[in-house]
Amino acid sequence: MDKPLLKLENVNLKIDNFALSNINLDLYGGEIHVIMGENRSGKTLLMQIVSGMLSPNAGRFFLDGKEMKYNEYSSHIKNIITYARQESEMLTNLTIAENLFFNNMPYKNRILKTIDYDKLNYMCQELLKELNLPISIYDKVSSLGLAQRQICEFLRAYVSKSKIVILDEPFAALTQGERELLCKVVKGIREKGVGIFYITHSLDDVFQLGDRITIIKDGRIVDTRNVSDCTREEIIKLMSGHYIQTRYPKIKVKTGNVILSVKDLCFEDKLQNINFDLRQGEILGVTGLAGSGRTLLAKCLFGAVDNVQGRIYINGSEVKITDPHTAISNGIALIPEDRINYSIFSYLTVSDNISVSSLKRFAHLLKIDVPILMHSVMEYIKKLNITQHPSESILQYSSGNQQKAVFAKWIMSRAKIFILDEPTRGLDIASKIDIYNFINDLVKKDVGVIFISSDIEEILGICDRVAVLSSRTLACDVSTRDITVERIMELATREDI
Amino acid sequence: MTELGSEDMFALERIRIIKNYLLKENKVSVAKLSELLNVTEVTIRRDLEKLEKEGFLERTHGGAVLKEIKEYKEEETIEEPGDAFRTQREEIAETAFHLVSDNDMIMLTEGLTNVYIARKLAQKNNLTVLTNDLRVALEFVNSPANNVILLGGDLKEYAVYGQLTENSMQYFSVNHLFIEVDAINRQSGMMVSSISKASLIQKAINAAETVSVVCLANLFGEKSLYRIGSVDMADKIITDSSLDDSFKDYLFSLNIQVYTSVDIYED
Repeated sequence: MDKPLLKLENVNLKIDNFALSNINLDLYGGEIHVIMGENRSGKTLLMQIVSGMLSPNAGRFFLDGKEMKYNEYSSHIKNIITYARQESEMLTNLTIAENLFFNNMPYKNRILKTIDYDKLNYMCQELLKELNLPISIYDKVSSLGLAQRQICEFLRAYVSKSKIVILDEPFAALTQGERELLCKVVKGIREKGVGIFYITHSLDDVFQLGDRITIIKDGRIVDTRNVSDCTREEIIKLMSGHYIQTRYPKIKVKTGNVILSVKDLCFEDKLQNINFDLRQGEILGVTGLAGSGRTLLAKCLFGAVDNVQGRIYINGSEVKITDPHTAISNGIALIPEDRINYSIFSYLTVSDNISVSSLKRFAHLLKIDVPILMHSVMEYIKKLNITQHPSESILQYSSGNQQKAVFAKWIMSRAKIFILDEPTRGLDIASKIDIYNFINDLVKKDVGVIFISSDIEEILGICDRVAVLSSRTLACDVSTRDITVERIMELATREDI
Repeated sequence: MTELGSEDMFALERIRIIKNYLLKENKVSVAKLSELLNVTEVTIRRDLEKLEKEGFLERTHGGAVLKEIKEYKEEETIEEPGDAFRTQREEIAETAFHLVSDNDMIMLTEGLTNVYIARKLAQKNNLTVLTNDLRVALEFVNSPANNVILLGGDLKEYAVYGQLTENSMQYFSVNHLFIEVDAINRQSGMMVSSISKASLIQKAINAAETVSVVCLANLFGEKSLYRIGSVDMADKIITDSSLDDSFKDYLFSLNIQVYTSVDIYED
């Protein structure tokens, strides 16, 4: 116990616009080391380095007290680590037993590799008995729900011979019973003397499971502490750290009529009783943890998913938004989070990407008046500060320019309700500032904006109101003047009421 | 042929409607006309082109204005002849308008862009405006809903400066100060062309809650003679949309709000 299983010293990594700086982290056998931080604080990148998948720019690495180069570290650690990620990596057409013991199957005949099913099933049954889990070993993984898959994923880590286990963001929406099972499995792993990195957003998990906690923000480690020495409030405080809300350009606009009203919106078991109003000239911020349904809410409003329950009113009259086409013709624009796959037409030029939603405006005698269209497009390219090569494919542009072209598309179509899902994520600062200024001008022109972001600082700087998605519904809807970063964090990490 | 004929008939009717509309409203946008007459914007643009040739109107970005009105307006206001940055200054004024609330106590220092801001702010209610620029004060002449306090001092062109001006400023503390500077660069910060102006602005900054710096984008990276102080004395910088990206980066890192005053709808 005196020597850490692994230790990282002064690790640095720079990728695009993000950097991990001076990371110092260690892990002892038989401990649960919780890693906490907002989305995109660098948790996953750090775990990729730990597990030997991603080579950092600099740093020192120790395994069992022995220093080694990253190459060597990487090849060693791969044999002793299990990385259980959020996305299930199981073979869905095999049974639970087959999946759990996939890497160490009992064979009847070692040469012919015939599997000893009796032994396999016996081993699995024993395991489930040991942990007292109510699962049938004969079930195929495809028949399991998300929570059960998560438990199986963790069980795989349990049966493996790994000395180090990384459990990445256990599925957020678990029932109390499922949560207890999961805890049992995690504690079981610890009892075998394994060191565990446990990535979570849930404060309850921290106190129920954690031995130590490391808080990471913007690629830096804020602090590492013993959980027994911390209070809830301290952890929230450490996570929110030093925030700067003064650098976001924000104008004052008199808000107008309610342009969009959402009543009792529900979707499957993922969103429940969502209610809010959006006025002309207003920016409503929506935040929440990863998986809280932020993107899903955007899709529901845009008609991009089927079977949405509830009522949507636009300018006071009820509208059934069954598909994106209806949404667009009602003046709704969506700028999705996934720019490459859902937002741009990657095989088209920038000018085509910009004009694609507004061609009707340029029709003359059943033909598109190309010179006038191009004139308008060029004007957008100039005004929105997009690099000027309109006939090149949009894929050759930087992400900032791509995003600005997407804005141009909807601005040109004169959309009245903008739903922006992480509009500034991964962009350079100059493009971010451009986009904040576009939003300012949009609200001046009576547009209503729903601004979804996991950057709380940005939300408080840009928005008039903020709504926090937590436990499948909106946990609050208040003016940004009346709420603090700490309070938003608390609401977002809150468990079921 | 018959179809073409009817199209021409419609065109005449449209032109009559456009003329009437303009005579009443003085200006109109292409989008508005297109909606009103239920024809495409392309058609409207052609009609406006025709009317421009006739000399009835003048086409502007996104619309048209009645010709006589425009000429009349230009005579009335004090502007430097042939100001190349008129649009930019108007856009900056639009942003400043949305940063001031009714009942605020503000100050505008000397500068042409600040005159544009004053013109726009004259639409507000119950502002108290402190200024050393005569042109700024004049913009509020027809706006009795607002109070203007004109500082005294030695008159240099359009504005007053000197000990007298600075002394009388002591009596005021403002919510929001708009200073117009002549250059901003990384080495020297904010700069102006005269020492009396630099001195007055320094005093004004000390007595203001919020400091907005007004500066055309083409003056970033330039130099002027006298230094006011470092850029981070500013809370907000209001400029136009041609600001170089590297400055956006730099100012954001200093925690300054950057307003590029872009008018995103095309013309």
